[in-house]
Amino acid sequence: MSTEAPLEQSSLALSRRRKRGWFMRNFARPETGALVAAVAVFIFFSLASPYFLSERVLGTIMLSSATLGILAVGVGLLMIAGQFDLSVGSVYGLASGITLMLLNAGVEAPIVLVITLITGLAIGAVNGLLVTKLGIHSLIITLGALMFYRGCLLALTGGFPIRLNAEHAFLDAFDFIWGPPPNGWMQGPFFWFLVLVVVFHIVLSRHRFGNHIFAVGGNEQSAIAVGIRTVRTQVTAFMLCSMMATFAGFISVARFSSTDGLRGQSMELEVVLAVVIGGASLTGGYGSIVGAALGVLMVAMVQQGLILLGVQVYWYRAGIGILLIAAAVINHMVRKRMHA
Amino acid sequence: MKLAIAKTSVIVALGAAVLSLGLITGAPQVADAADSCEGRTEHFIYYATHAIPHPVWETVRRGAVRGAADNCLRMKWTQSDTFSIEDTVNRMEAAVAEKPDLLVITATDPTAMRPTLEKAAADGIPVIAINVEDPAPRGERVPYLLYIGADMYLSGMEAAQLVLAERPDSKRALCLHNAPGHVGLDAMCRGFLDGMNEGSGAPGEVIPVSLDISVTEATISNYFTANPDTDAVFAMDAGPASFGAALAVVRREGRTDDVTLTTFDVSPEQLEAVASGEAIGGIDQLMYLQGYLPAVLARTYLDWGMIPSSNILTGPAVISSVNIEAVKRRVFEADLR
Repeated sequence: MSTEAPLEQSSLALSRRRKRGWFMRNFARPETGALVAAVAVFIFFSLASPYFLSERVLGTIMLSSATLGILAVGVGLLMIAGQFDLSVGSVYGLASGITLMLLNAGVEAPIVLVITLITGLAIGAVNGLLVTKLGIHSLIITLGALMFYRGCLLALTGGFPIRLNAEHAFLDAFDFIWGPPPNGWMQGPFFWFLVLVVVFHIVLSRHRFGNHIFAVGGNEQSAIAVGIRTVRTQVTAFMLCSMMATFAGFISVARFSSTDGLRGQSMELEVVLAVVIGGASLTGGYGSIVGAALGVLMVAMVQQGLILLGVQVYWYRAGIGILLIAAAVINHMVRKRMHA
Repeated sequence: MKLAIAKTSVIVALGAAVLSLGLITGAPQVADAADSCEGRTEHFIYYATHAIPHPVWETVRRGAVRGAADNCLRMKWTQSDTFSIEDTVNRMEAAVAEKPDLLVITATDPTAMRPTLEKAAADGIPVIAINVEDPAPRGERVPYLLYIGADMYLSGMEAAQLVLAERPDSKRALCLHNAPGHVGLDAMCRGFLDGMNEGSGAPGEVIPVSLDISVTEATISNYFTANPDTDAVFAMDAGPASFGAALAVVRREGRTDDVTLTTFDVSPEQLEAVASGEAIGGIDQLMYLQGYLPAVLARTYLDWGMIPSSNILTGPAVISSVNIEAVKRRVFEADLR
């Protein structure tokens, strides 16, 4: 064995470490696993269905992911802060009911938007204060809130769908199509979803509030020790989360001009699933808004891809489940390799 | 410390108030007998079906309330938040424990419901099934006196006939299923696809639809992309998340002339679409009667021991351009669905 061999090996190891350093700097992010999984899902359906890559199908995937996506921005933020909100589906439904009632009562649409958003902030503040001040787990408080707000919506609608009585030009700002019909290259609800992703990605990665969110979710006692107001941070996260749900409710009215007692039902678990397969940790302190958005897109791709493949009705949900588990496994493996 | 206790007390008091309000508003509804009922026995009729917060079930409930009031019965109505056989059976168990004079059920899952219904029979509680019947022969079915509701398979066949009358050479049929696993809806979808296949040889498929309208719209649009020859769509639910979504997709993609739409049950959107020619028609099952008639029969049976020995079919009842104005008056003015 020549003396050059260890030198070569050492230089190779150094080069690997350098490469790894470059990789870690640029790619070791919470959303990397989600990105790899999303690309895998995308490639799978592109190969499996001749229609998947069409402009029309991609347009419908974007549009169908918008509502869940807006909810996921809020839920993702809250989960990074170490809390859950299971009431988002009900709050989303209730917001659509309040929006419709106010619009039908003749209140101007911009004022309705403000009222709806304030309602969201208030709901989030109540949830947040109950969780942080009383020390009751957020799953319990928001599970109760889920039932309460669902009941309010059912009472509000009386069990029947409600429809918008007149058109409001202001609503067009939330339900537009840019590009050729029917789907264009950008639809209003998806545009707002993207705007929120960009805004909250910047907030989380560049703003002090974002640092506080990660710190509180990662280790609350350490956060307190360095002077972070943990209660204020978590209550604010709850408020933003519920506000996002009410914003989605407003957009839902702009798009569908109607609501019913079941609007948003069972979305709470779907959104947690999307955020987790998007790379967020269930224990808080880790995750990203971009990852949550990728998780939402994965859910939408799987739902629509299986329809394109003609999966039999009784296997459809099983198919969604197995593909989402596969996506979660890919995500987990990528993250594990990154942190090894 | 006192302040903290006071704060906690306020929160607890608020919680209790909210809970009380919820219990009052969400409590099973009991219809009081009218003044004219004086001197008549106030029988107790209990509805423990697979009802959920949905317009068609709200219609059944209204029928039950009216039926109980008209027939001097005390009525109790219960329902689940979402479609759940387990929850339905649990509510049936609770109903049997309350020993009503007559129990109204849906035979949504006869096997799961058999022990409970046999318990009811052993306790001498007469049972009427509505909405979904046990498909087994009379001697083998779960114990109930009679069934009031639509023949679901026939309803699907009738929907196919409606479509074929408009489009005899239909190429491909699609059934939008909002509750896969529901015995009645499964049978109706099968009836529709069998009818289409027998009538024009059109192949057909069933796809599940979600409560999320965005997802349902995307699903239908993508099905059209993958199967562009689809020209007949039957939605099993007339609400916004099924028929409404199909109508929106057909409108948005400019396919109103290429796709024949029809639906089960009734909704304002559906009636307007039938009136405007965007939908060919609808298949109704007169849900109001499914709530109302058990109360009428309960009074007869409990007073005189007599009840029809055969089922009472409330559907398929066809909604088309022929009767659309009358049906619209029924729905929009009388608020009966």
